[in-house]
Amino acid sequence: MDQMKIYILYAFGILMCVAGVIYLASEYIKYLSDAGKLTILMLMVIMFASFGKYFEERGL
Amino acid sequence: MANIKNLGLYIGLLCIIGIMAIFFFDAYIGVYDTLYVTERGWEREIAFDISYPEHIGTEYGEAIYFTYAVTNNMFEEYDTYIEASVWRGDEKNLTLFSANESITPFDNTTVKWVLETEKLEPNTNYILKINTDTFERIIHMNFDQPPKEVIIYAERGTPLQEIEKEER
Repeated sequence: MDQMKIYILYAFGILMCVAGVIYLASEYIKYLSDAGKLTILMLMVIMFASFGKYFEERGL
Repeated sequence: MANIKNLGLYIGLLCIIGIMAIFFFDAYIGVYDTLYVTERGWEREIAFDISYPEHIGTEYGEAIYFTYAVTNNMFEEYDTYIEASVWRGDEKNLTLFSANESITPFDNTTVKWVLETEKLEPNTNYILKINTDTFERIIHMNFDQPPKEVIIYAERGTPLQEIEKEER
């Protein structure tokens, strides 16, 4: 039961972090230049691919 | 082997740092301006983040209050000349504000001016230009003047007002 509470707290914390990042990104994305947006898009693709490869190797 | 195994993690973390750096230097660092327009008691924020010019329209004779804020999110002091003027086509009609401003790093300054629409002509298209060393902002303006007197004609061609006078 205690383990469950910890997982719920983890999930809540992760949710708050994601919500905060999305809120701040939506506030500032209008000031980004087109080149900046494109670079971020490419970095996000590389980031997801890298994390995907990492977790695949770990067997998660 | 361990390093190769964690390579994906490190690349992913580097990408996150890169994204944050782009947000900081491309979106936050710089000089930004915002105009606040108060007409008929309502304040409107114009952030100049749309591709087409903003429009201000109010009744002729009313004053419009402007507050122009310039934010300096740079590591050095920003000196600029700010001028707000009203144009009709290519002809400059009115200078509303002009001054040199100096803004310290990560600070902002606000300047205010009032446009008395009576100094301009009604039902005419004007352009408000705000010039700084970095920006040239353009806002379209038009001031409608309602008709002063409406004469309603009766069926036989006599104005109703005349009929009322006769009745008295």
